[in-house]
Amino acid sequence: MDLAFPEFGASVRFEGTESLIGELARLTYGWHRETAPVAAGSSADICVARTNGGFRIATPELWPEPEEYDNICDILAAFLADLIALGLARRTDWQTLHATGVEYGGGLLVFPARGRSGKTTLAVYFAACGWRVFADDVLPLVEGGRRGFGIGVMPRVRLPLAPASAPGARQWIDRRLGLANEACAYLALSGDELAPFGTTAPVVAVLVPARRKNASPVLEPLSRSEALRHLLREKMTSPAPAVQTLEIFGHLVETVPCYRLVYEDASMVPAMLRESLPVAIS
Amino acid sequence: MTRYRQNPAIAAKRVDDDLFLVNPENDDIYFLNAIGAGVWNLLALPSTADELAATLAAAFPDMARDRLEADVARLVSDMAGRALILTGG
Repeated sequence: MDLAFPEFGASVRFEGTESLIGELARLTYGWHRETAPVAAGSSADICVARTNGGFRIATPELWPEPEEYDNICDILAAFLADLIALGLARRTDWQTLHATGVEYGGGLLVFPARGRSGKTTLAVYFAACGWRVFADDVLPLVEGGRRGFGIGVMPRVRLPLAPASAPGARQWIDRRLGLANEACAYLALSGDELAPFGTTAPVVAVLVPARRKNASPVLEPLSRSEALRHLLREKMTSPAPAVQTLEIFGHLVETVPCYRLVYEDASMVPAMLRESLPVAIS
Repeated sequence: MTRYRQNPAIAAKRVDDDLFLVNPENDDIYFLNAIGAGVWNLLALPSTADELAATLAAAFPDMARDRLEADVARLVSDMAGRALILTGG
């Protein structure tokens, strides 16, 4: 079956893997897909096929060789990563960050950070405290960097989960564990907990996470220059020229408050921010 | 002595006291702290590394001169290698 994902400008062929489409729908929120046969003589941007032991994904535009996976969780994670990467290269209206995005009072808090830094853990504990998540890893900015854009992908946590001090937080997560393997699990969040694809909100603060041993959560001052360097480090692929990226991120740090978020236990961060933010971003 | 000057194709954005330079040829973004930004500003007029170090030494008399000269030499070499600055007057 051939599908088009118009928001990412990509075509996908599922060869004997049509059952993955239903699973994919449970990992995304607000996505559109259309049946769109790839023209004869052409190949799909992504092909997901069966192998004897599992699955194979081929994305020639990104990788010279196909990759193979032996479980549904990993093949769908690879598929989502490739599809999003294609979208990033094609969406001229996106300036995208490695970042967590969380809604706060109708605005968006942006937490730029690289992989394996605890972004997803932060996002999940915000959701557990009733804050709607826009992104746990990939956060496009639109409208000149003024607004964040939710891409509607369920957070994927690494297992085992770290201990949490906040009462009830772990139980909240355990109740939402979805598709999983021994290393990671997607959460099954509701529409109140994850913003659907295309939802936008104005960025109201940039909070650069800094995990420190034995640190109670606190917001520390961060210069605009340092905030900009963090944003530039976490910039993802974009067809936009660097001059435009610098203007957009530069404007962002000049117009919203920027802080360093120091913490050790992510589950304690939402309560601290609930207390601190009204002053910090006023 | 080699004289250096700003590459006029470079875009610059100041944030706080720091400077971010972009080379549109390769989309590299280069960060300069306040002193580096001072060097960039001085290179609006063609200057040698020695002239730059002398100007900075006058502005920062507490800094060791040999350290200053080494830092300036390293900076202009790096910036020239990235085509942020050009040689020749």
